Amino acid sequence: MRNVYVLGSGQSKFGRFKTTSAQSLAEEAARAAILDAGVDARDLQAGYVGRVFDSPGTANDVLMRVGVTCVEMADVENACASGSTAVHLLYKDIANGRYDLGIAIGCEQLSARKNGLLPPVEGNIYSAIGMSMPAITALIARRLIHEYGATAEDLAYASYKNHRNAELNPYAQYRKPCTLEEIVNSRMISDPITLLECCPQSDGAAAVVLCSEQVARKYTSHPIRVAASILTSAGFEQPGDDMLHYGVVPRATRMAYEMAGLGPEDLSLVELHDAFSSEELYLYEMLELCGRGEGVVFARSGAAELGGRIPVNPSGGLLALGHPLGASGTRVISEIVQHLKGQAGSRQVEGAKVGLAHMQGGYTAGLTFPSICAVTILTR
Amino acid sequence: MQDETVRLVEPNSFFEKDGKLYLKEGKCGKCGFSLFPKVNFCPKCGAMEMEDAPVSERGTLYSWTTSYMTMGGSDLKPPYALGLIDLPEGVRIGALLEGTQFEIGDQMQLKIGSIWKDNDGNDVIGYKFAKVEA
Repeated sequence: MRNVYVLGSGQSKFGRFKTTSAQSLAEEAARAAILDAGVDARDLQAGYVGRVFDSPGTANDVLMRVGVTCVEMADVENACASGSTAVHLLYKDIANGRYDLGIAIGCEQLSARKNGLLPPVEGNIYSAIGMSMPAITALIARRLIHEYGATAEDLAYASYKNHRNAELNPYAQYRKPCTLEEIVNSRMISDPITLLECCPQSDGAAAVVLCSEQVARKYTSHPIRVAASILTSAGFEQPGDDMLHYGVVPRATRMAYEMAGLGPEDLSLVELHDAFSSEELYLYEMLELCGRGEGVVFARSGAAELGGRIPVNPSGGLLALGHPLGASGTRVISEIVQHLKGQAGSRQVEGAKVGLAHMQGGYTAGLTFPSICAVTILTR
Repeated sequence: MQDETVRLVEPNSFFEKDGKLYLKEGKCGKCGFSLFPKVNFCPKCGAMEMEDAPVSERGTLYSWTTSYMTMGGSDLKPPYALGLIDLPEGVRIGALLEGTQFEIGDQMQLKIGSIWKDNDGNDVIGYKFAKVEA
């Protein structure tokens, strides 16, 4: 396998843009990434576009707008990890020697959807009985209370932290901080998860340009390397599974550290799937940022804050930057790249050398939750 | 249950025997492994066939929540309680719960019947778990 590098990255602003199409948002992100890479768009040899609910054929519609035609391209759908999957497919093409330069995009337009709600998954018994993402996350959050004595403030903590970070991010949907009290006292969505502990529905897009070593040398003296790119799926539920410690996320994480030859002690920052505030507490453990059972203590120590030992979601995360479903997987990678290049502005993690991007998605009855996980490790 | 007006919440999750409706899990005829929902593959021994078996009627509550949100495309009306129940055959099942207050570890009893009324006032048939009365 060959080394793969990120040559450029970019994103649109995230928010609610009812009259802007997914294609336009994706074009904006693609344009930013191509300009950042400094390449001629006509030299791109492949393109993947991650999106969940957007139109079929989005890839063609977006890529022609930036001059990419007559190449291998496809839309990819993989729940909330669709954008990660787009990057991963391109990574494999370049690592395997098929192409030397390509673009991966993630996009989503949710605010223009008719009733504003996401549809249940057809033929899935759990979806039919109302087992929504907030509900399943609430069931896990109650285990945090039960096993580790997590308080309402602990569950609200990541939302509080990430809203503060988003204040520094010009691309964020919500740039106004909220207090722990406001978060805890906001409307109950699925007990114990409150409204301000849920990510908003957002529109937006992100893109990255990947290349081989040979191409990277031509364009930059400071390449960002993809040290690990892992995409894997959940196993069947087994009797007595511990939902706080078991499943696809710890397994994907271990695979990524082994592929990169790095460990959690090497990380400068992490971007992770914080669709719900309480998720961060056990994802700290699953991503090995702290030991088993130490997630709540890790949060309380301030280690995950900007300026802390290992900042988590300096972008503002899904909770405050926003969560356009298909875009987020690409966006977390783009955010890490910005930090490694020292281009993250006032939210910059100083001296960032290694970053980990995590994204997960889906819930399939009979499999462990979640059903998909992507972990990418980037180094400079 | 041959009555076509009966609406099952999800048709593939039930089976009928001697006129009675059961919630269906898969049980491996070779190694005895059980899983819900049923698929025709045994994750434990690799057998490519599973038998229809009724889900156990008693289990232990692993976690629970009360949901206040509307599901897109569903006529289930909030608020509604949901739980995960660990069953003796080694299956953890997600279910609507009857009642409003629960504790992790509660002993739960399976009930099959109407779980809500649709927008036309017709019963939607499914399954729920309720606390076992002390």
